Amino acid sequence: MKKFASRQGRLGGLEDYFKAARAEHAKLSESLKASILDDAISVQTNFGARTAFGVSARQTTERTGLLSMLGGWRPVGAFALSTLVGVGAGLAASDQIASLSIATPTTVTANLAPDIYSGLEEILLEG
Amino acid sequence: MPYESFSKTSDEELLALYAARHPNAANELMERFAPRILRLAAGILDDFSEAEEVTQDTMLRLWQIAPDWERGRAKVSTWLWRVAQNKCTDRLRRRRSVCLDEIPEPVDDRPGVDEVLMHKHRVQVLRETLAGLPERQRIAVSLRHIEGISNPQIAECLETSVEAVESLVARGLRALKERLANRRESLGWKT
Repeated sequence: MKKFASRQGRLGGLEDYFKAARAEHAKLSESLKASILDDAISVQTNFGARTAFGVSARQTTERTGLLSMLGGWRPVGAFALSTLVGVGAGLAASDQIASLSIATPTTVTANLAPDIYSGLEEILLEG
Repeated sequence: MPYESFSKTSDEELLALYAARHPNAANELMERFAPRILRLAAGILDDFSEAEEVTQDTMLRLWQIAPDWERGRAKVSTWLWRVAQNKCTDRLRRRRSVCLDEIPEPVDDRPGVDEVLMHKHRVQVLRETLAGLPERQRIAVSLRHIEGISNPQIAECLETSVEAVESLVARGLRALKERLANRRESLGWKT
């Protein structure tokens, strides 16, 4: 109460003006109310779309975040990864070749005709 | 739908309800804040149609921020005063940059025969006198003595210290008293 009285004294009669101003525009016009609520509803209906967009954006950010963790080592990482893939593919291919050769052994039989030798002998004798 | 009372619901909870698509939360938030924003804006701008636009814009910002609102970071009311005050300041600056001559001279000698008219006249005189104060004094006095907002909250709105707010309010009141001193009788108040 004492505080209120001192405040009244400090305001020096201005309280009447402020009281009048406080009583003014206590109610909104119907058209302003309708506009504000229209805005509220249209923003609220967009919340779903915004949330979906937010999730996708967050996933992209997470991926970018993982890449950025590599920092200056990113080219080295890329080289190591490609080497690893290359070596893996190479090993897999050699393994296939080995298995293929085991599965189908090839026997080469030389059937040398006797007339080859005779022809050779003839050349040697002539020489 | 049965009547739903939000009287015990805090401003923050209400905003969270709005973000969660509660159908009546927006209406309650509007009833709580829009009339006060309108009054504040009308006091700062001295133009009712502009004050209505500021009120709608400020409430729109509240709807948009609702899903991202961080609980405990700021009071909803303080945030709203700050947005409203910034919007009013922008409009005042735009007005100044247009042309001072285009702003009509305030009419302050309306007849006060009827009490309603007298009341309106008093409010109008206060607005005009407030409009003559420096911008920050005007905002500080309006927030403190018309909207009844605490000095720390005003300090947050104006991004200044509580001491600076006290000084702004004190200087604003002193200037108002001086300018209104010889008008009290003509406005129907006993001196």
